[in-house]
Amino acid sequence: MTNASRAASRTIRGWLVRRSALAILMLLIVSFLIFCATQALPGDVALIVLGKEASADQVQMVRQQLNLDQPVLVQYLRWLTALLQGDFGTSLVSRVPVTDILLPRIMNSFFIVTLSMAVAVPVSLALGVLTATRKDGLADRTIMAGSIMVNALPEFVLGLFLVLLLSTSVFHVFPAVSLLSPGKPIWTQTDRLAMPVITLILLQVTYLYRLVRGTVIDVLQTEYVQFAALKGMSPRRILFRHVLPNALVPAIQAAGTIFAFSVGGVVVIEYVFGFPGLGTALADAVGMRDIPVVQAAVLVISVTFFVVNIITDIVSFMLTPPGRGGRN
Amino acid sequence: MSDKRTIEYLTTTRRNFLLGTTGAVLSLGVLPGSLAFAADDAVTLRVAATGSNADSLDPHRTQGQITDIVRFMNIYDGLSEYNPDASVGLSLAESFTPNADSTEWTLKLKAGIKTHDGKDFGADDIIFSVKRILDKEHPTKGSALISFIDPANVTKVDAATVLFKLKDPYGPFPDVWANRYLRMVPVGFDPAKPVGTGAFKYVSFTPGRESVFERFDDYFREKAKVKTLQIVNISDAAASINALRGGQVDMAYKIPFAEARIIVADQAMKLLNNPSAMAIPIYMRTDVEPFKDVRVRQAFRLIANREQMVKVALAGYGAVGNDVQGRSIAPCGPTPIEQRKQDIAQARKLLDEAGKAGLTIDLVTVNGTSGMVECAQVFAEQAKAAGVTINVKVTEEAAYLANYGNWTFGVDFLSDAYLPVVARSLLPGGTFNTSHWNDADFNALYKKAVSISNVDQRCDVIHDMQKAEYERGGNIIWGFANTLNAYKAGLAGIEPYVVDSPFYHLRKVSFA
Amino acid sequence: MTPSLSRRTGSQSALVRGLRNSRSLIGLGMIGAIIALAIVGPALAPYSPSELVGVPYDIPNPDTLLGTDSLGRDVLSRFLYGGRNLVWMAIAATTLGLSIGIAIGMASAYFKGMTDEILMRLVDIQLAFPSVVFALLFVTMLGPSPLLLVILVGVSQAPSVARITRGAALGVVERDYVQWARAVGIPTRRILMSEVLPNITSPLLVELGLRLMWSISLLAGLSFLGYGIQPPNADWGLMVNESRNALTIQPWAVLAPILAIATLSIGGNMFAEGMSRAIGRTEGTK
Repeated sequence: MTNASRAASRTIRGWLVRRSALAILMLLIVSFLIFCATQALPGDVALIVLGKEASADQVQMVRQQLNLDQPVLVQYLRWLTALLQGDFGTSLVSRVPVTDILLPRIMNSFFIVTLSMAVAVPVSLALGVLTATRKDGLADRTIMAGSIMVNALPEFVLGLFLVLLLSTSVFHVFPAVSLLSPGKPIWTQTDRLAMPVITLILLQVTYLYRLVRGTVIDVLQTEYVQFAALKGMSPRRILFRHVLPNALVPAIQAAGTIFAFSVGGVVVIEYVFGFPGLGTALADAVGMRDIPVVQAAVLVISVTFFVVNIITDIVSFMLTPPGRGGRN
Repeated sequence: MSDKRTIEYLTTTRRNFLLGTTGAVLSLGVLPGSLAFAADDAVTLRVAATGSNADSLDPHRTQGQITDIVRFMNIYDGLSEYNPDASVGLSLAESFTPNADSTEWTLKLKAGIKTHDGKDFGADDIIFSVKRILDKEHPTKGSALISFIDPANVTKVDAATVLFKLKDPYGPFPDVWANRYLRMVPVGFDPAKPVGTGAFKYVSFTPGRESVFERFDDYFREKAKVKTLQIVNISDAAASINALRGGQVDMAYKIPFAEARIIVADQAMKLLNNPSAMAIPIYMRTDVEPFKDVRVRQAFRLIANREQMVKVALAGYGAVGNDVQGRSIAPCGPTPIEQRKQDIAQARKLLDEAGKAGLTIDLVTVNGTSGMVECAQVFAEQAKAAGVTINVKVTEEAAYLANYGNWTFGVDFLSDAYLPVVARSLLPGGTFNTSHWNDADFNALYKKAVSISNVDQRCDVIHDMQKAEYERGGNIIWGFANTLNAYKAGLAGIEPYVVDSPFYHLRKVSFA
Repeated sequence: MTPSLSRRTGSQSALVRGLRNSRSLIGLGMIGAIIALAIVGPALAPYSPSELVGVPYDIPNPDTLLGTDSLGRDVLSRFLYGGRNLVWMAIAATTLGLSIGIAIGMASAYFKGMTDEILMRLVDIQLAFPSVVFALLFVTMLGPSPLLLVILVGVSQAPSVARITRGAALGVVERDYVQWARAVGIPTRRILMSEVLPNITSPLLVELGLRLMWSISLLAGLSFLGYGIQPPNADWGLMVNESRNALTIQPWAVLAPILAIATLSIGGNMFAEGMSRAIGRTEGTK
């Protein structure tokens, strides 16, 4: 290990510790905000549990059973204490532990997001580099136009079109609804994942590839690349020596952001395909005022965001070629 | 996503790289699982219905979502049951025998009824179930229906006979047990390991997702035709239709009216049009302004162009109503009251007389059953002609329920035969009495009706009750909605039901 | 990723230069066309948007040129009325998001230190809630009103604008004339408004286009989930939601609003794309 790299690893460690401490502090703030926001949801949980036939007595009874009578702050502290012990509480609606409801859903969402990213990231890198090196050619223009269109359509519209195209009207390749059997592992039911995964891939690639393309074009215009070309370095070597390492960092940062956003933000896509994921669980729980589930789901999404952010930061930190700027 | 793999990819040539990933995308389509969902069609009946994470296997302590009802109607039985035409037939019961003034009813059970765990089902189980339904500690949906029973006065006569002693006469005693919320369960019932007497027995259950049941071979009457029953939760109507279309399910419960044409146009699917007893009343609170004044209520009833409401809000899948509950179904036949028609001039006149000309009011509705939002919008449009401004407020289900029973002007839905609907929605204290109607004459008529066990005599009283509703009630009952279901062409044994649903009798369904 | 600040000249020339690019012109034209449609549409509508003119999902005929929707209302009339809400809300939300984001970003870059740290961590917290989740929670809490939707969409856009602004402004605040203005005691607000802001318009113009596209997408998505504009209002997002099940039997009720939404959104995208090309930056970030 050279002195320089030892120094670098020390800085990484210090920076990492600071980053993590800050993330934990922010998570605390976020958790309090989540708790306050969810406690303030209008609508009486007791009534929803009982339905519209409930009498006043019955409602009062359920309300007491559910401890809805205590002050919000007391409830928050209790919630947080339990949370730190790994107890996410019990669903008000189905009366089972929140983890029982959410864990499979979280796994499902992570699975399709990871699967789609595993395809989208390499495809985006390839497309980005390809179109950047053939800037303004026919392929570049066509792909760009296509990606603008896909990107411009609201997610649900894209989903609806894909259903018409691949499931119900034109072709009948994939099932339109992601009816996963809860008893079987998700990876054995790939046919049912196809539609949401394809939709995600399309959305991710059309965004990510343009970012790669932009960065590559930027790098190609820099003086040192121009200089390398003048020196007679082969275009392929320029690409691998100079362009790709520089294009990779923003791409990875963006990929991290996309991952975090996809996990929490696929509500609409999950809804279109009836996919049993975190997004639909959250939307259902909000509708039913199942507060513990809402709180846990939102918290999971926030934690994902912070963790992914830290990971992408570390990766970009390590990949940033020394002496060429790096993060600001 | 690993940067390492990205770099590996990058070391291959760009051309191969692109081909490789394209291959990966395409290979999703040819995975072995692709066609698996069509594999065991012939033995498994797959049914899509609306449910939630609150799903349960408890027939009494339920929120009453469709998935729950479909489940417990198929794994438990009632003492009596609705026939397709809304008449009541006997199910677990062999006979109901009243004394002279209908204050004592003797129930005799059929012989040879077995539970899923192989035990005999008898009088003790009935008494246990009645007590469970009426348990004050654990509120149930069915308790209001049999609140006239004191569980202490239900006694076992012998292993197959139970005696119910009532405080007041109750004529329609055998009919009440046909209600879906009054299923019978064996002594020691545990919803975690549900045991019943029904045509299907429990295999697995994941709330909010799916549940699986298999045929019960010792069923006390004709057993189910399919070996396995799978009930899956699909809440979105479009997803339901898509799942049916793509062959992922065989039957779909939720088909909105306007979309029924999609099913009709598709050769591979069949539409089941049940002429149900479901009314979608627009209710007016009779105890507060502006509807305290009967003239305002009658004016609003005259505003409704009922044909247009049925044609638009129900896409024609329904019948015009006459501000009287209970579609003219068995056993009483049509109501001998003249059909009310739109009369804007008269409506304006009544509003003028009441000093309420140019009224502006909010109409609260919810995205519940198909037609609830639509009818409110159509009515608001029609009201413009009478100078009345109606602002339709589409609330979320949770918000709607939180204030249920307090809205001044709103939309509800009710589905049942006449007397049960009255008990729950037109009498003081009824949990569905959204119009807060409390009419002394009407209440007296109801008391009289339930004390009579002769059907014809009871129907005479019912006609008088309907007249009172027509003249001064608080509901605009503009129409009765049919219930639309869809199923895969080729299924047999599915017939339309007026009060129940073919989904409640899945043992009759088979793959032709 | 730092944009080359040296090439930046001034706000007018950035816009003018940007508009010389055919893409931004076309993009602006598309946005303009939809705004015009939203404004004059109601005057051209043959029926009122809530009038019941026929049976549900009637196919196009001489009376109803684009057929009818789920309630038998005229699709063409609803289409012509339905743009107003989405257009004003998208524009208002974008403006709000840009204003908040620019303010935070500039303050962060200018004051540095603690202010920077706190503001950026606030931005992180906000980013930790995906826009849809954020909107879902608040709409459930406060009820779906247009003003609330504008605020929610605007606020959820602000963090990324703040990051872009901060990144661009960091270089500008170091320049001599800003340092000089600071030294001679020119009020901070004036420095930010007349020295810093004009020099960071290029990335912000790109951001404007992207944010507009995101606002539209988010607003339409919320309508689709039932958390947006409420019936019986005519609204493009709502129209898609109401009639999406009937796509195969009466496609116009869905296609017409989708085409309009897509045009607006593609317009925003092309404007951003053209701007960044003309300015020399190749692509905006999220």
